[in-house]
Formats: sequence, C-alpha cells, structure tokens
Amino acid sequence: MKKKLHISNNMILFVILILLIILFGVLIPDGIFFNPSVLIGTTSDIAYLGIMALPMTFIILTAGIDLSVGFLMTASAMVFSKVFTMTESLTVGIIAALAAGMLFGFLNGILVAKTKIHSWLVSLGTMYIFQSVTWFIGGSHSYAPGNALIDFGTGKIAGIIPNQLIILLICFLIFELLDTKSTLGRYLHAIGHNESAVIYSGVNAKMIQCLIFVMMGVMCALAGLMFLGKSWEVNQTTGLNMNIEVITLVVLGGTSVAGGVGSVRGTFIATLIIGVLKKGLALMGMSGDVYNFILGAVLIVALIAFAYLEVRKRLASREMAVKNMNE
Amino acid sequence: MSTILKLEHIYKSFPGVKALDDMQIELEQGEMHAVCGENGAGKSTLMKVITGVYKADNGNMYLNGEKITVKEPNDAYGKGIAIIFQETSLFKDLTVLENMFMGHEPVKSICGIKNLDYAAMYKKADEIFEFLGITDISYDEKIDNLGVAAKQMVEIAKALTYDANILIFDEPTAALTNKEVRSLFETIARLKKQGISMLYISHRMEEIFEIADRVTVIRDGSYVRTANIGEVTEQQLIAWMVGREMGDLYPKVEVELGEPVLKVKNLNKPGLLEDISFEVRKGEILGFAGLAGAGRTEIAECLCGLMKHYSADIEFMGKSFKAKSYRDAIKEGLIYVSEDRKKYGLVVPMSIKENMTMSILYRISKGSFIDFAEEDKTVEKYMKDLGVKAPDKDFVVDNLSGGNQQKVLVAKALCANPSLLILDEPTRGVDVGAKAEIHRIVSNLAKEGLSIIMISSDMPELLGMSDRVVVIKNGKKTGELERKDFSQEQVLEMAL
Repeated sequence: MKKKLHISNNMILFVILILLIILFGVLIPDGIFFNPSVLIGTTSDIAYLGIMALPMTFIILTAGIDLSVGFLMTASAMVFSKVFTMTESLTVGIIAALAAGMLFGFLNGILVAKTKIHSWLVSLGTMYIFQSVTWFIGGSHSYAPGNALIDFGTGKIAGIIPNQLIILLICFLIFELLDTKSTLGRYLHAIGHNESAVIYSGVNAKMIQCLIFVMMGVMCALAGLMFLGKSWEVNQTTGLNMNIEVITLVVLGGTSVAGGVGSVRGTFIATLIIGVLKKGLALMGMSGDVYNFILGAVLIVALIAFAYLEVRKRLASREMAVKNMNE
Repeated sequence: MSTILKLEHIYKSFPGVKALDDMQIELEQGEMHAVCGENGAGKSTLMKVITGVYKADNGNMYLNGEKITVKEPNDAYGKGIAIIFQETSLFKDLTVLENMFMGHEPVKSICGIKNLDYAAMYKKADEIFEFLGITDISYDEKIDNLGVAAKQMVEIAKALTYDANILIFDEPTAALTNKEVRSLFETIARLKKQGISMLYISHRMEEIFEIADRVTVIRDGSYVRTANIGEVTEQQLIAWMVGREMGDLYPKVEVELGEPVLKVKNLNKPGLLEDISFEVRKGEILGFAGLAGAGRTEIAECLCGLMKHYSADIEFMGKSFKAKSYRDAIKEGLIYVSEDRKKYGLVVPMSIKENMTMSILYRISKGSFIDFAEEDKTVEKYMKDLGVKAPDKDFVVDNLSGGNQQKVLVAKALCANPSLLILDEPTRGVDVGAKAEIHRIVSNLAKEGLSIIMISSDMPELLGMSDRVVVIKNGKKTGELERKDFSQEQVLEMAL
C-alpha cells in the first residue's frame, strides 16, 4: 500500500507540455514544429513574462500578490529609453532602468511591510502610479531603443539558442536555487503558511517581504529591457494585462494563492507550456481569441488536477497521522 | 435507575487503522458520565458514531432498550441526542435566536407561503432560557458579540430546542475561565436535576472528579473499564488511560541552584506591566502563576524583544541586556516557547525538520544556503533526545498528536542552545502520558543546568515542577513563594 505512485503537480504540467508539443507537431504541416529552431524558439517570445513570473512566484508563495508588474516593467523600460536617448550610452541606460525598477519595487515592498494593507491593494494603487510615471517620462511618444539592444534581444547563440532564452534559463536557475536550497526559500514557504510563527522564530519576516518586492522590481526592469530588445518600443499601454499574464504563469505552475505551497520549477514549466501554446497556435494561423479559449481550458484542467492531487495527498496524510497516533 | 443509551461491540475502521475496536458504553438515565482517554484513544470517534457523523462498521446501539440506527446527525437530533462541540458550531453573524433554531425553524403558512414563525421561536426560547436559568443573553445579539461562555450557553440552548434528553459535551471547559467553568457546572447540575443524561469528555481530572457520577476509560479504541467516581483515584484513572503505572506525576529533581542567570528590575510597560522585578538562577525552574491575561506572557515577550516600548534594567548572563529583536535574544540564548502552539509556535503544514530549525537556520547555513547535512544531524539528535514519535523527520507536524507537536516545539527551542528557556503553558492540550513525558524533559533540562521560567495555569503542574513561584496579577507582581512554602490556596489568593 505504501508503494503508491507519487504524482506531483510538476509531473502533470510536464505531461501537458509534452502532449501539446506532440499535438502541434502532428497538426502543423511538414513537422515544422519539430524543427529545433522553432521548438527552442517558442519560449523566447515570452521569456520576459517568464522572468517576471519567477519573483512573482516568491511573492505568491508568501500569500501576497503584485498587480503592478506590467506598468512597473513599462515604466522601467521607459526610463531606459529616455536615458539612452539623452546619453546614448547603453550601459548608463541599463543601469538607470535597473535602478528605477529597484526603486519602484522598494516602494511596493516598504508599503507592504510597513502598513497592514494587503499587497493586493498596495500594488493596485502603485499600478496606477507606475502607469502615469510612464506617461510623465515618455509622454505620448514611443521611444525606440538603440540597435545594440535589438541586436542582443533578437540574437542567437550558435545560431540556434536565442539570447532571450539564455537569460530566462540563467534567472530560472538562480531562483530555483533560492527556492530549494536557501534560507530565503525556506522562510518564504513558512511565511505563506504562518507568518506569526516565522516572526516568533526570530526571523524578520517584514524585511523578507520587502526584499522580494525589490527583487520583483529589478526583474521587471530586466524584463522591460528584454521586451524592448524584441519589440522595438514601449508606450504607456504596453503593460496592460501583463500582470494577469504573469500571475497566470505562476498559478498554472501550481503555486497556491493561499500561500506556502508552490515551486519555481512549476512556474518555469508553465512558462514553457504557454510559449508552446502561443507559438503553435500562431503557426496554425489561429487568432488570439482561439489562444485565449485554449489557455483558459488548459488552466482549468490543470487547476482541477492540482485540486484532485491535494485531496488525495490530504487523505493519505490523514491516514498516516491516525496510524502514527495509534502506534 | 434505568439505562437510557447503550452501545456494544462497536467497531469502526478507517483505512489502515482500527479507530474503535469492540467499544462499549452504557449511559444511565440522569447521570453525568465522563469519558476519558488519551488523545487519539477514540473518544471523539465514539461520540461521532453516537451522533451519526460516522457510521459504525459493526455493533449495536440501544435507546431505552430499543435497537436503533443513527444514519446522520439529523437522525440523532430526532432521537433526542445532541452534542455540544468543543469549538462552537454557531454562525457568528446571525443572532442567538436564529442560531438556536438553525435548520429546524418553526414555520407557519401565510397564503400558502411558508414563513418563519417568530412567535413560536420566542415562546420556545423563553422556556429553554428559563430552564437553563439564562438571564443575561439577548435573543437579538449577534453571536460574534458574545464571549466564549455565552456562546456555549447558546449551544446548549440550541441542543434543547431539539428536545434533547442526552447531551454530549466535548471538552467544554477548554477555553473557559475559572468563573465561567463554575457557571457551566451550575448549568450542568440544573440539567442533571431535570433528568437529562450527559456524556462528558475532558482532560481535566479535577473536573471529572467534581461533576461526574461514573467514568468510562478507553484506550487505543478499546474499552478499558467503567467505574463509579467515588471508587477510583486520580492515579488509578491515569494508569488505566495510559495502560501502565505512571510513577510520580511531577518528576521534579532537586537541583543545586547556581548564580543568577537573569535579573530583571522594574520592568514597566504602560498599560500592561508595572514595576516587575525577579531573578532566575542557574538550574532553577521559576514558575509564573496568575490568571490568563494577567501579563505573564507579556513579560516573556518583553524579555525576548517580541514586544517593544518597555523600560527595565535587565541583566542576563552577567551583562546588561536588552533585546531589540527576538533574533538578538536567540543569539544570547534566551528562548521563548509560545503558549499558542499552532499560531506562534509551529508552521503546522511543514515538516518536523523544517520547524525544528526555523529559528537557527541562520546558524546552520553557509552564506545564504542551508547546510542540509548539518540540519539533518541536528534534527535527528533532538528527535531522539526528546523521543518525538514520528515515522521520519520529514513528517508533517499537523499530523502529529498534541504531545508530539509540543515536543517538536521544545526541540526547536533546544536547538538554539538556550541558557534560559521560557515555557508558556507547556502542556496545554496535551494528554496525560505526553504531559508526564514533557515534565520529565523539563526536569532533566534543569538538572543539566538550564534555567527555566514556566508560565502555567495548571496549578498542580506549577507547584509540582517549580523551585519558586512568582504570582502576577493585573500586570503587577503580587507575591513570591519558595518551594517549601507552596500552597495552592496562597497562590490563588495572590492571583485573584
């Protein structure tokens, strides 16, 4: 009885990913989808979303949320465009953008840590602020970045692996390590389950909450640069709905909005799934509306599967508990 | 007297476990019948079988000599059996009256439409309130605005709206103050006089001896024996519950006391604490007595830096000390173990390992990354030292019994190498067997030279374990007693 197959959320996600790849491989003529450069390229288009989903996983693990990410990204990208146009220095522009992202993130973090207002509401407020900051800086213009950024943003290593994907992979590895091996990761899960108990363990939980919002800000700025590197420009409507897209990746990755449960790994696989889905449907000539429909369906199927696993896990652990107590 | 309810040969299994194994119990008309057993002995399962929440796999149940089956809770109510839950089942945003008749509201038809019959409700409620002698609860009050004791009264009143003649109490006094307990017992006496039969689950021995007529002891899902309360002693009951002789209940070891480890002078916190001074010596167990809310927990939280904005002269380990944060206190070896295990003590959905090292993670990490080998070593040592009963260190804390959870909590504190340990209600909600074990652990720690402050509302425990007792009342120190001068009366006098 003990040797029951242990199915995890991530296994389900992985199966979904494989099924989608096979499905598109068969449906799209001439096996174009199986072409390595197409397949590897699927995720690079949304790498900037994946980058934002990594710290978002941390925030949602602590039972928080950040709705401001879309416009935080846009505002940071706008800072880059403006500074770059003025100084014509890529380095200065990038540093300015990352610093701006850090500052915006710190604003979120300090508000969440110091007030008793839920991050849901704090970031709703700052979302509007960041949108208008974008407008203050850029006006109604769109700024295009220099060729250097575009060259890098659309470039590939060895002619096959897109730079965007490389950056996503590096970030993923860093966040994966933090999640599974660091004290921070341990504390994040614990805060999501029971913040009081973490504080009563002598851990500065408020500082950690502030820190993850700062991380979010920096990663949003990085995402903004990646976005500029492939889309040429940003304007003040760019970040619209991006917060929902990022949250979707995290939730599809099996992280519970109730906090405590989830993994960076799940978010990463979810990013791959969305990448495959978007590219596959585009290659089949489907419109965005079809994509939305299928995305919704995949999300719901995954969530039902997670819920089923959760119930199964609870029953199993209940059983073990009773057994342990009666021993 | 005649037997009103009788259960025999009751079996109930859950996947992998026998929760009830040939269980039996007999309740007589108008008696107060206590049911005792350790946590996990099957008390709650038995009550759930009686009230139809669970269906027994096998066995017979007789009501007034007639064989009955109870398929679901509503069946039980229909037969006059009602349970007063440990945590009340009332809807907090509804009124007292609405709650009392929830699910079986009297109705009257007006033009073919069924309407709530408030007149009938008030009439019935009046009768019940008079019967119970309740005068201070208004029908229109929202449940949320009532205290724990009043909620319990409403719960009893609700049971009576079903014309219940068998009432089951599941640890009703767990959350009550002494005064509230007295008034609950008066109500119980009243119910008894009216011929209502009651089953009463409780951990508190002194209560059982005070109000019960008979007691049934169960262990590991099996029936042990039933006895008249006048014919047993507390020691005997406990021995039946744990299945062995317990030996000394409070295994206090005499320890040669050393130098003072902590000296606190004039601890003040506006509105909470006033001019509190005391000392703890090496190897000493200092008891803190007082009512809930007297300020004992606040003293501990000030010392540990968990509470701010206070003034005091504190000397710890020979130097002046004031913790800015709890981390400061942990670094110095001053550890606080909270009374609220599930809220402040442990992250219950996480594993034993993750909980034990929560406050020392910074010590067993290289840079920002956890040294897993070191962590495993630490956890295994303390699990073994304290005898935590679990399959492995990755077992989820939520699935442990209360006693084992408490051991994990103590282990978490010991991991931090304390010089002074503050234990706040260390045996609350823990069954007798585990309680004795925790006392033994505490006693051994003191013997090894650890200084301990023990805050407890359990008077026998406090007097049994402490070298000295400080009494706190309304944020002020009202007395201090040496072990040779201990008397329950005197402590109570100073605390009340």
